[in-house]
Amino acid sequence: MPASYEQINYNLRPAKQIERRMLCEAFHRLSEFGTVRSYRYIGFGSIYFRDFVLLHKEFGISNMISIERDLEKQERFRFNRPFGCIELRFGDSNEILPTLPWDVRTIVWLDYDYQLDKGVLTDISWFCANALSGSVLVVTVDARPASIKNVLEEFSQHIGEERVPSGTGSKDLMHWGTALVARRVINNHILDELNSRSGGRASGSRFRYKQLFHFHYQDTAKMLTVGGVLYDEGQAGKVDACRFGDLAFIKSEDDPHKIEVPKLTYRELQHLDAQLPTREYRTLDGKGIPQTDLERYAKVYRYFPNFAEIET
Amino acid sequence: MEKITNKDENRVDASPTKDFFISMLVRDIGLIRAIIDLVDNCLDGARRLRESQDYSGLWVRIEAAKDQFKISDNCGGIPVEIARSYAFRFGRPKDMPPTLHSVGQFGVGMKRALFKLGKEFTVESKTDTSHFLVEVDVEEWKKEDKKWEFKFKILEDPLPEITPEVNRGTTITVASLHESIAEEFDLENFQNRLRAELEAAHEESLTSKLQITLNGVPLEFRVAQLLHSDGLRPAFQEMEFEEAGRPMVKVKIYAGVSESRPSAAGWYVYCNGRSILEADQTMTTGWGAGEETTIPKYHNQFARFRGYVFFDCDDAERLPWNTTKTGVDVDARLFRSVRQKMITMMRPVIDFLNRLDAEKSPEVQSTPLTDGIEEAQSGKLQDVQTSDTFTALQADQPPTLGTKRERRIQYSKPSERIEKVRTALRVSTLKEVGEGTFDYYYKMECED
Repeated sequence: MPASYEQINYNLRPAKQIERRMLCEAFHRLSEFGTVRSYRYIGFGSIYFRDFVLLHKEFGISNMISIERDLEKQERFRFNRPFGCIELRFGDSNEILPTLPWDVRTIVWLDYDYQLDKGVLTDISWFCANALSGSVLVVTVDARPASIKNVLEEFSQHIGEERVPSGTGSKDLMHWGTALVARRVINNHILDELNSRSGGRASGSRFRYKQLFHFHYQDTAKMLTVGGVLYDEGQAGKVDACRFGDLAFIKSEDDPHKIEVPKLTYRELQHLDAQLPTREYRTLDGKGIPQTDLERYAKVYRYFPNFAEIET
Repeated sequence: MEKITNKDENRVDASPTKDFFISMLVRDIGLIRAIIDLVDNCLDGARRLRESQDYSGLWVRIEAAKDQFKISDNCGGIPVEIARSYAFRFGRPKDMPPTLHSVGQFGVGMKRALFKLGKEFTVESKTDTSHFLVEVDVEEWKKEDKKWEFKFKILEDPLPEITPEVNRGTTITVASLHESIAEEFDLENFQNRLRAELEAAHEESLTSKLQITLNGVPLEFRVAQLLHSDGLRPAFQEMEFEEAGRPMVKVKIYAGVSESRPSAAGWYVYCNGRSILEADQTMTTGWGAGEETTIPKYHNQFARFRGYVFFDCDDAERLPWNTTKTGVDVDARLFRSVRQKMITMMRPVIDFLNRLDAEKSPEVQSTPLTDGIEEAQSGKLQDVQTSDTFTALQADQPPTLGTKRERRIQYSKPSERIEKVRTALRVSTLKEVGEGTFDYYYKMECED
């Protein structure tokens, strides 16, 4: 299977870009733990490094590591590296993550272009076992049902049978069901690892996790993004002070925030922007744009990609 | 509360018979483990005596023969008051003053070992100011079922003059050994096993300068070693576990490589200096974790793997060991957290060993990892250069094909011809034969 960057140009995936900007807005609030600039960022930059560009420009984060497992094309990845501060590490994330020092607060975005599997859970383990309090984990996986025929068998094969939430049936995995179950599996795994890590620590200094992100979106394939902040109980006050809940897309529960992209022309975008912000979607002058698209746009307009700007 | 008398009809006798008690007590411990427990008590004595942990001048002598077992030490002795109230009690009374960093925390070791070994025992001990002797004939003692006491045969407290340090110590003698025990002691193979296990029970640095002999021959403790060089650094991390009102547990973890030996590969776990897991290659220490996507199951290609974990705490009860000190208590929450760290630290070593293994493939022409290992030196844990994570030269690169400026040539030729060339070249090794003939050809045919 070719890597996804060969199939699609990331720049043209508006839902993904909206997600990046929403994550970015949430990261601003981490300053309760320390300047965001002082965080380290670990991601899978591919050849576009979109997330790296965004975080470096927005926050000035300069401690950046891109993990790339396509060993054959090292030259191309190096050539496309947009800033000198991005360190490239070639190898599987399963291998690279435990070789990194974990002595700095880190934002990790494990942005896979495949489905949840044991390897993904291993990467999550590395984060949970080692990250400092105030670090953020974001995981994106392809959330299409594994297959039509043996969806449950394949799903449980991917993640290991004992990790499938009890009572899960094939029906639960259809449509967006795989995304919902995958989130539970990831969440359970995080809690399990943090429980182990907290073993032997006095109450009041155990590790906790607060889910912040739960996105469903679909540029081509159905995708799931989950994530949150890991913290020491003693720093619970800081998490509260971040006031993540003020942001409309923050989801700490089972139901997702769906990123839905309206199909609009540039002229329509400008026309709508002039009337925003408003909560009264009904009053928008739509010029024949369907009401659902009007509402969708009103919810995401601040994060909506400006294609002219992106094509740098 | 209502007074209970012998005549009380509601009274049901649930007290144990001594026979039953003894048989239960000795059932779950092996002979060798029982003897190791006695050595642990001597070590605890040494720890009480020398907080500096410099044990020079102290000794423990073990003599195991078919007619008698004897263990003696000059590690300070048992004070009479301790003997009277605690040392001979079955189980450790709650109010007993703790020995910092002790290994004998369960209060059963000595009695269990004595009953395990034979039918008559004496315990004689001399401290700076006191001296006692307890002599027990177990068969006689059993006859009085309700009387859970021993008697001092000699009791001098205080002594007329202070005992010089070299004479303070304890001697335990067991005679009338159980038949099966006497037979074991008579076997040379058993003596070898006993020696090997005594030597494995402690790590060298933790018994430093304490001389322990078995039948007159000093024990040689294992020296934990790892390979290291400028490019090859074993991983080392420390963890601390605090709990309000209790002493802190300190943990030191090392992960790296050593000589290739399947039987020695794996994790070694020590609690207060006492070995509780040796060369462990099971799930207990993380092998096969995450359904093998995190850590694979043990294979012989990991025969170079070595990991060492040292738990230390003034309060031995906080340590994650089981009561026979033969393994870790895997349910101990503290151990789960340490295990997670062990897994993180071992993964880079595993990846390195997989790459090292891949270099054995015949297509590979450059072998930087194999070369790196050959150049590395073996050093004691406390002397090796470490880093937070295991680092090895080019550890994140796959073995490269043919990019080295040198390549290896291998070929076979008939032995008698090789011998002729070897004589003609006046060299000794086959490597020199190959290099000599290549250089000769190159000089004759290729050089400008």
